[in-house]
Amino acid sequence: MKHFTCLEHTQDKGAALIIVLAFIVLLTALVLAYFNRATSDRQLAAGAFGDEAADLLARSAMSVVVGDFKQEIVEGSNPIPTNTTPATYYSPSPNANVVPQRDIAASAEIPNLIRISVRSDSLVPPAVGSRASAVNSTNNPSLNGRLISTSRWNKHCLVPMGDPGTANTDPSPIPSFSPPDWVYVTAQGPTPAPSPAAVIGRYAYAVYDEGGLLDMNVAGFPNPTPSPSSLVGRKGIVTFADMRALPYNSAAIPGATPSSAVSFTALGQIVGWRNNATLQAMPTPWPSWQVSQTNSNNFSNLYLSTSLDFTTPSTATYNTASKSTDQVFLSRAELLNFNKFQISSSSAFDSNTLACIGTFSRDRNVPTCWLPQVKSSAGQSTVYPLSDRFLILNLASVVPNPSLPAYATLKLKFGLQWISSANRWRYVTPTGVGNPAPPAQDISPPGLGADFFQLLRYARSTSTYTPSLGETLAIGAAIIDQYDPDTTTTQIEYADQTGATLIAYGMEASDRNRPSGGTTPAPTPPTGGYPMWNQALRNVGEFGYAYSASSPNTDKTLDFFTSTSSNYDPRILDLFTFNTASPRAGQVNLNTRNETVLAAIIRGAWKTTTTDASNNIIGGTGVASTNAASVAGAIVAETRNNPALGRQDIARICAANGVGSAIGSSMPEAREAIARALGEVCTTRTWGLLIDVIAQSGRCKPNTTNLTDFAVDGEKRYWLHVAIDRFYGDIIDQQLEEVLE
Amino acid sequence: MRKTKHAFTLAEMLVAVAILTLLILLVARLVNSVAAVTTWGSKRIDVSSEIRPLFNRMAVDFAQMIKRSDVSYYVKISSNPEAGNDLIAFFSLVDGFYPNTTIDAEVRQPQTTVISYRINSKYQLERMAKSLPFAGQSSPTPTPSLVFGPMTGYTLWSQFPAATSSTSTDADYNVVGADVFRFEYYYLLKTGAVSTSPWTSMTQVQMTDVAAIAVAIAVIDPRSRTLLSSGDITTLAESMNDYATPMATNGLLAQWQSVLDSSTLPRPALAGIRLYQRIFPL
Repeated sequence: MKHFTCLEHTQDKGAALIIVLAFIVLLTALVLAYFNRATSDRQLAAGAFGDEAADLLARSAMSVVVGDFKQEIVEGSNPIPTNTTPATYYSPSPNANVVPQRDIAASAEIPNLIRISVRSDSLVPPAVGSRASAVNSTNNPSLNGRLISTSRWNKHCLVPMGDPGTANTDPSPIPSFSPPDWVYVTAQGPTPAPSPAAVIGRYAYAVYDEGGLLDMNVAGFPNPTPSPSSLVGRKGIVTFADMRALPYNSAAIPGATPSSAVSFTALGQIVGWRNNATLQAMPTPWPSWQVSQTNSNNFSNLYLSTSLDFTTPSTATYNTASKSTDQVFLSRAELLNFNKFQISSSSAFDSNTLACIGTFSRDRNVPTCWLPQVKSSAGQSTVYPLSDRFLILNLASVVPNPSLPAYATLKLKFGLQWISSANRWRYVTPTGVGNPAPPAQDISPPGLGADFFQLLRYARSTSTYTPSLGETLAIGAAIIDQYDPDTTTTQIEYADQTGATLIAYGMEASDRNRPSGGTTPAPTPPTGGYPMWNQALRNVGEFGYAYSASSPNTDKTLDFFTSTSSNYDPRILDLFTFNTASPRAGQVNLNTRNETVLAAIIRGAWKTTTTDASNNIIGGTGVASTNAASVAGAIVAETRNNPALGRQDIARICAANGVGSAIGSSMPEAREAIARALGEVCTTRTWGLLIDVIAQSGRCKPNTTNLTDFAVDGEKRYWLHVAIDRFYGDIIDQQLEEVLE
Repeated sequence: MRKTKHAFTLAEMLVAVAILTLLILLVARLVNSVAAVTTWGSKRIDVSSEIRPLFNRMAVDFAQMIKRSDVSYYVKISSNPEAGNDLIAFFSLVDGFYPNTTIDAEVRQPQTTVISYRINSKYQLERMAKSLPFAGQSSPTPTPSLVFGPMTGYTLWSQFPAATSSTSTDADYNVVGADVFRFEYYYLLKTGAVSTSPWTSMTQVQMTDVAAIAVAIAVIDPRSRTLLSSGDITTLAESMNDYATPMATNGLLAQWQSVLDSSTLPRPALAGIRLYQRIFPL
């Protein structure tokens, strides 16, 4: 039988095999090429998914951390229902809870650090622990070798650096900085010790007290310095903080006496850019600026506004030469890089300076700790939290023979009517009926829309002492006399319980011909001179120049520097303000641990004043740098153990060990320089936090029991700037800054 | 003994040719099938590869957007509904093209950059990234910087007209989606509402009220695009509706898909069109 094919021949079989193999190779190559591309694409997609997952994790982590702080406020307070919005007032209980609890172990040498995510944190209730694992973000690399170096953790330069001179190249923190531990996240949320198989990602964080720093969008004045010197010496806004008090060119951590000062050059370059249009600054060359004295004064007038909140730059003018309005630092990264690249290296801030300045601050301009309770006729107490502070500028309307438009304002804001026949004022309360209304016999407790005298008496009332109507009106009249430019003593009629008319007198330095004795006593001016502003007051601390017959001090003025049971004046600091904008930027937390921030605010404040022949204040001598540093250090030592609840605690702080003596004078006026410097600038009601969060998506190695076997898929980092109102427990404002590395 | 060689018979040849033909047909079909699958997959990958970095770029631009009430935006509002393809322009803290190339990029970071997304006349998605110098910087000078207010005469659209025009040319525009022919966006407000026009004028834009921006795009892979004329692309883009309330967040893509399903254009071309939507939290 014949064979059907010729494949019996070896060469023919080989050819067939080659053809078949060629087909197979061709097909295989096609399929492999496709799968290779598909696999690469899948990996790219997985990477993008990992980044997305990390972003969601980071945002969730920030929500968790902020939620923990809000819970700390609620748990650490005595909640008081109110009839306003927000509906609950969280009164700190105990007082120490007015500040966020610090992780002492982590923050001992780092003034700005509040806490980090750490396995064994020292937080106790009401603070909420971090839920961190024992896996450290720096010391325990991930399965694929990822770790967060301490330099990265200090990219924001808020932690003191071992070598401040390297701020612009390597922000390595001081060795005592302990990097955060990872918080592992499962589908059920963050948990300290999850099953590795359930882990979907992790995050670590550190929280800093940005509210205790100088906001560079408000702080700092140009060169030439605003003139006259009273613009700086009278303080009143953080703009006039003398930033030369900040540490510079020093290996010491913030808080230590700087070895040399921050130069005016750097400040001038920053302010020249920030207030470019207001100053009509001309580059000479950029970033140095030529600023005229006139425009420097315009700068001062801008920041002495009684209504601007400084959260946005001024757009009142435009600099056509530089094609610019005023500017703001939109992020901390922008501030750091402006300093790093735009300021000449010889004058740029170093790391320790950067640890004292921020770019975000918000504060509600309302009193902190008092809740006027108004009883209805049925005996029910209604709580009216004061919604704002009384504007000092209103005092300008208290002018004899007021115009008709001012008449209504005076009655509403002061409860006063002008009695032209007697050439004096009559206190009739804002609700007094008639023209003129009969003189009031008493002052009702303040509710909504309280007048000046209501607030003044409420401020000076305690559970055991209620100032009389006459005493209250006399102090108010003395404040009016400090404010108005005339030399005529302010007189205010009121009535006693029988309806008889009495008169309360203010105090002018040169008007010594007032009646005295009998039923209408007028105070006798203090001997030896009585300094008078006779001009608009700059900040509530300057109320301390007003005469008070009941003052325990030798100068018989309101007392903002002693802490005794018979001193009823300090609470005045909390109820009045130079600027009513709310919320506003630029306020500094009085409980800051950053001593040099307070030193900058205090430095240059007029410690003593000089007067002319008529006893009008015409100048002053500022607090020296060494005194400012000492005072600031003593204040931090006091608030570390007994944090301030409100501005009223400035007097307690002034009376604390070391604070009064550090100012270098025992004169009441000198001691009160602290209240004048801090009273208008500081706050206690805002937790201004910078939350630094790094989140990583990924999963643990299969079948592992070790959380360090975590493979990172994606990573995201944010700096969340957030301002939380301590007394209402809500977020005032926040800014999310993505960190690009 | 010498072996005798025999030739194939005619029957053997016919059978062999028939079998070979059959095998070739089978292999050809197989190759075609494999090619079709790989082509379809490749088209999808091509489009995905183009869209992924585009969306990532947008994510960075939106995340770094300067969200303030005192800076200019050029966005969709009730008085500027942007029928058809949309345009959005805003300031963002991202890298961009700097007017002075002699300055190192690192020196400028982070910097304010004018970002704009638009569909050009060739139905391609373009992105402008024009970096601004710090205010008053002398080199280069004079160059507009970030203006707050926004002040009349110094708004984003008055200072950077190309950023808010779908036709004006500018060297800082680059094609970032060569095959994107439809671009639409709308807002997810913090109130929970979905809106296309929460504001009535450009000076009222409050981006802080916006929780996220949703972006929807239609993309055609390059090989499918060759099957369509520019007129076909125009017709297709114009038949895809704008987002309009009350439409669910997935309603826009559903409407676009129905347009594709009912289109009479060549199916191979339509099969290369992909629809995407991504929500960018602000």
